[in-house]
Amino acid sequence: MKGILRSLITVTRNTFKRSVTVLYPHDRIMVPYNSRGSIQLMVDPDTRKILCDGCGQCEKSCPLKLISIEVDINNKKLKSFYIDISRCMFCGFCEEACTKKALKMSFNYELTEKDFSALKYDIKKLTKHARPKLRKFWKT
Amino acid sequence: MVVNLNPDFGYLRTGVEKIIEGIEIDNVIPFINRVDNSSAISVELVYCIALENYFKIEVPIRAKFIRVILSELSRISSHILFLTKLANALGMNMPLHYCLREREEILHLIEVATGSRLTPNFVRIGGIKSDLSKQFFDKLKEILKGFRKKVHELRVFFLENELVVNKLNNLGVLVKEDAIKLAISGPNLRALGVSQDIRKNDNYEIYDEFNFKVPIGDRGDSLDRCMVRIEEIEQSISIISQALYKVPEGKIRTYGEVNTQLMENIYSHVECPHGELGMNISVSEGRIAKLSIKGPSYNNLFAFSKAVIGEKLEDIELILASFDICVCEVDK
Amino acid sequence: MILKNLLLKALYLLLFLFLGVYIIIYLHKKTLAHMQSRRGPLQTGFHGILQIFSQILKSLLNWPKLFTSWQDLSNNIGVVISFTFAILAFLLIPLTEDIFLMNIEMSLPLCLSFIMISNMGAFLSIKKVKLNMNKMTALLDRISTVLIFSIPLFISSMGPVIVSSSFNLFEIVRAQSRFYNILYQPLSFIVFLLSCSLLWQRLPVDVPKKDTYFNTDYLSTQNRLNYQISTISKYINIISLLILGTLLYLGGWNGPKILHPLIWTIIKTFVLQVILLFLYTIIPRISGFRKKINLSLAFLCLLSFLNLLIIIFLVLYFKLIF
Repeated sequence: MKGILRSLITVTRNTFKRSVTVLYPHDRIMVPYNSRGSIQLMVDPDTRKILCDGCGQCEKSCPLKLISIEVDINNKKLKSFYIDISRCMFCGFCEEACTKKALKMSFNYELTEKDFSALKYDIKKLTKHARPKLRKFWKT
Repeated sequence: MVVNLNPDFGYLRTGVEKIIEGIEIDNVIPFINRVDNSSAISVELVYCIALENYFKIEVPIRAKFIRVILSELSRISSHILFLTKLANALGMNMPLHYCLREREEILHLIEVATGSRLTPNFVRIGGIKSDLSKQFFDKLKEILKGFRKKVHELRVFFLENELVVNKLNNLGVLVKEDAIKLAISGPNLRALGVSQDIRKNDNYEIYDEFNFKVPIGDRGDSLDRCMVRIEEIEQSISIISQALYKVPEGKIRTYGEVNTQLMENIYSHVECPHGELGMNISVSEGRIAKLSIKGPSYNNLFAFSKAVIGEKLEDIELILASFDICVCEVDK
Repeated sequence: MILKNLLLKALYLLLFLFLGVYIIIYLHKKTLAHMQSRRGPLQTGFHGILQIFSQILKSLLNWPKLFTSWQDLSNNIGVVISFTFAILAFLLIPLTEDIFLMNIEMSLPLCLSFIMISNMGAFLSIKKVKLNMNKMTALLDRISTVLIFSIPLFISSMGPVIVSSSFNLFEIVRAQSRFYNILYQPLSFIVFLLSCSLLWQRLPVDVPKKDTYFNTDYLSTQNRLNYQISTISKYINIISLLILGTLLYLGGWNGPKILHPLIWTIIKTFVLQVILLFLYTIIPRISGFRKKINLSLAFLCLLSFLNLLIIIFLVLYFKLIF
């Protein structure tokens, strides 16, 4: 009988505590800063130029071969940079292999799209975080 | 009354061991993460320990301490997941949700340290990937303070409730001769009275610097298996609190190059929360030629089919939940 | 005139029943959720008040399908029986001295037998499916729970009957004006409560589940309409059982004259409901035919017979009749 009474007391104590769940679309949980989410290319804040120069280390280190880079040999400029997110397993090898700290993983985990072809990211989408956002005056 | 039981498995086969052939040595780790779904660090540890012992690479001491802390944390989370499955089979709703609530804190700790909750990708050959910040150690101390009390509350629900004890008593008894023939290991073997633990017998990391006991059971029924795992949680808490005060400063990883031609039969084993996890690797010219994983749940499944004989039809689910079988290890 | 009076009174009682069912379902969802450290329904209405209303509305639109043809009715006859008998059992119970529908001499055994019939009525609507051995054993298992756990219910309710020497519910409550029945019959109160919670067919007693090999689920042969009506009739049964419990053991509408006697009955049923909810959280699942027989016949019936012996001894030698 003692054990049953003690478990009853814990159940009553837990009914009056705060609940642990979170209403998802309205509130969100604070995810730690270094969790592995979507991939971003870093931009120099003063000169507004992409820090990546196309060395190709991340291309070699990806276990599933999802990164494809094209470089202009004369100018040493980036032509195109494609990452296929639909098959990525978020392992973090590309971030570890980059020597110039140009490729980083942020903590954003909401990556859904309506079209399947929109999941192949190019340079414009990878540097979306650095472009200024338009202000909206009323909610849509 | 049950007369015979034939397990039918193979529906979750992904073919990991075939996909890995031809990949370079450093890139293998994200693939073998998915073999064990509740404690993925033990699988990474086996791979790295096997190669380090063969090529005689020295791992710095700070990396060894941090590896021990993370593997004990994942052991706690795996045993709490066992308790939720047992509560589900018993039909009690409240302990299910309380166990899941405690497990959230530990998964949050692992995410602060490594970056992801269930697939850490943290252990590398020769050390670990990156250093743990001071914020992690402060949070660990804070969470460990109140954790012993929470484990004691969970213990009251399972081991001191007379209705549950009467139900689990003498249910699914495993005989010693059957256990030795089927080569079981882990908490299922320790519930029979055999004290066999790889952390003590075959010392692999710096486990000989810590002071901990190995809990043993008596009769080999479901109640003993539940009791052994709950006591292991408390021993893990004491190991972590000892390790917190002994961690030295220093390097994290040793780099280097190694000559590889065809080398075969590199083997090592580790104490996984389910049992003994072993791996056999053969390497040629910087890429993997063959890899085979021995999961402990494969043997536990056949032990379950021996323990059910003579019981009633409605108790099968309870006995299955008390053996703690992880299906991803059975068919990889 | 008499018929018109009766109909009006029945309407008022049914309105009270609807409110009672609504409040009990809402309280169950919210308190069980808070015990599991999560919140219950939150979206429709303020903190989810209107969600049950929307569910009942959605199911009410499908009820006319039962009466479109004779074949439809005959396939789903069990659900109709369980619903009508559940309502009939509630209408026989008096709530206070003035609020009652009719005054029948043998109201207590009639009520209990109606509740038992309505619990068994859900099994009659499985005509279209071929029965194999698995489903036959599941059916027998389900029928046996109702029969086995209603035996202690009947026997333990004989305790208050002996003390007040009549089957009428009015006399039983009037005999408790000085001392409530729970003070010298605690054993039969425990037996009554336990068999109430075990008759209810919720989680402590073997929730039927869907499994690929062992199909022990008679609910998978019901369609959605039958399932909705049978759950509503189960909730009506539990309300009538709880009110019976207060009338038999906790004194009914007797109490200090500060509050209206109707409010006293409501408060006492609420106390009983809280005790039932906490029983639901602690007990693990009782599975199997043999364990249920052991529980009911060996433990519960023995206790109720013990209680009857004590009461007979007290009545004969100490003249305890009021």
